[in-house]
Amino acid sequence: MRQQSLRIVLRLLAAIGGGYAVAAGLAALTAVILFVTGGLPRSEAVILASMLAFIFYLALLLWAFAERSLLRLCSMLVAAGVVSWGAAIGLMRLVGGS
Amino acid sequence: MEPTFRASMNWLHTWTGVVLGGLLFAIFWMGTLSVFDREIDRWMAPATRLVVPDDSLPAEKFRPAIEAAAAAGATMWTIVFPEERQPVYRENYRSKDGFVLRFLDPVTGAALPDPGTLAGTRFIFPFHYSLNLRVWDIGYWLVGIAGMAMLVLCVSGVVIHRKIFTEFFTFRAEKKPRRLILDLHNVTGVLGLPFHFMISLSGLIIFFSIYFPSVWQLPFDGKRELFNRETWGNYSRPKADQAAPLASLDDMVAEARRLWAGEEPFYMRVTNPGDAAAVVQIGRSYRDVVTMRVETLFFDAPSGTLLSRFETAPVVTAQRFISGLHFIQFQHWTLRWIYFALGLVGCVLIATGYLFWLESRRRKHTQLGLRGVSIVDGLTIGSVTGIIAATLSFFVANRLLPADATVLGAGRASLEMWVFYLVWLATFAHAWMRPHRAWIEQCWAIAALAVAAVVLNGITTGDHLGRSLLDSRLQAVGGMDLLLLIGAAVAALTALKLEYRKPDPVRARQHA
Repeated sequence: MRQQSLRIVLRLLAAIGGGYAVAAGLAALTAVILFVTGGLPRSEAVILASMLAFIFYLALLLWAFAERSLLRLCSMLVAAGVVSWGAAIGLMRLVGGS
Repeated sequence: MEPTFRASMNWLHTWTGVVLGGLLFAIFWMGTLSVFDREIDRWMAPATRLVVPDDSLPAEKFRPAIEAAAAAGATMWTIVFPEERQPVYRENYRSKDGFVLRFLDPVTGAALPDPGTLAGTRFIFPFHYSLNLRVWDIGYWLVGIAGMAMLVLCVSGVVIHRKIFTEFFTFRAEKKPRRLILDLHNVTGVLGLPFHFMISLSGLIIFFSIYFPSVWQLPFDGKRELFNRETWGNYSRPKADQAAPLASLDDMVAEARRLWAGEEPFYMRVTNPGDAAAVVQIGRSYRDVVTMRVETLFFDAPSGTLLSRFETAPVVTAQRFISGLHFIQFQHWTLRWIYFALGLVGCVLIATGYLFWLESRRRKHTQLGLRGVSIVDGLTIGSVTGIIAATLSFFVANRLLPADATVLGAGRASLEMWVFYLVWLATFAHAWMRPHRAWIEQCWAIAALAVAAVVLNGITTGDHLGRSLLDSRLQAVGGMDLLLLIGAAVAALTALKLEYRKPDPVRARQHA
């Protein structure tokens, strides 16, 4: 019983906190890619990615509660978070900040 | 997390609903009322029950006001022009002594007395998106969480109920209450699904820069000023610290009309008034389009020449369109009523969700001696009938408080809000103290308060229904009075129905 409540708390943290961080990372990466590749002006890229962020978060939330393995959930979230944030920040550095 | 996807979604739907349903109901209720926020303003501020004349006042009329604001140390002076639903000028600036907001008569331009109420546009509407909790944006974040929760509830609800098409036509009014509640939850859920999904998502998108700040901070290196300039075209230039007179405001407004093919300005703003580097900013009205367009002209104040003309780029325009779908600032009475009705459908959806949860657990919880049902029972009553009674008390207090009322240093407008919050708290206390009678008693309270509001409006302003329904100037007041009476009738019928329903053995045992 105790272990089960702990698992639920962990899952809530992973879904709400982790899902948010990954959604923000994916959106930031989308904005940076659109901007860096010259697809869109900077403000346009930011707005498009910001609107998509809510859809990313929704999908991540639903998946976080559907995924049966808590371990797989957490490791995927960490991996996606590191990759998206790393790539977004790296790409911004590459083109020389603002 | 459960063995099947559907079971997981069921778990998610149930817990999200039970934990956040109360907050969601408050947001839906206030959002539904915000559809008519300006009509509520007319009802609560009788001095503004006016008609906009066909010919607007010359902009030059506001020159003394701008000079007065400049003398008071204001760096920004703004006036919003009147329109059908808001027939007054709204002037505001921040002086050395604080923020000044004044309403001006649309015919004479003279300042109207302080209405002493925050009414619809300044209490109900901001409550809808910020819960009026401004510290650290807590209110915005809570509303954001509720908005995401609503999206999760919409999707998980669809997954649980696979027989969407059948359920659209299923309403078994003759069946047991629990079955009836579930049918009502499903019908309102399916019927309102596109609207509820759209309204929640668009509500979130409006505040994208609060909810996902990192997305703009990274590409803009954290420079908000730069982001705002590129996105919304905020033009600014430093003060010259040299006095210079203002060129003809009428010429600038005429130039704006010419550039916009005769369309009207929405607001006019003077930055650094009186300075040689002052800027006059005029924004285009969007009352005839869904998109809340940001089309702005910036004039050099001393010469009146155009400095900059801004129009949003395509994706930003799309964001403004989505915002417009949510705000419905355009003039369309049929759609306005449909939004109002669908908002109420959302309220019914949330309330029946709670009721279904309660009815399907009442027997088991009572047998096992669990407290879950009695806690959620009180939460539901306070969240549903409680906030409605509190809102009506806000209206009644508005008609009873004298103009110069103060208690413990709080002015009239604050007292109205205190009435709202105290009554709301009291309804929760009442619900937990008298669980078996609370629904009935609060329904009676709603009916009585709604009728009292209509009667008091008639007595204190003279604009009773016999008059307001015949006078187009008082359309908003008559409409609100009528809705209050309909609400009172529904509440009274509900109370009677609950009073004379067949006794439920489980309920009786639970409260014994």
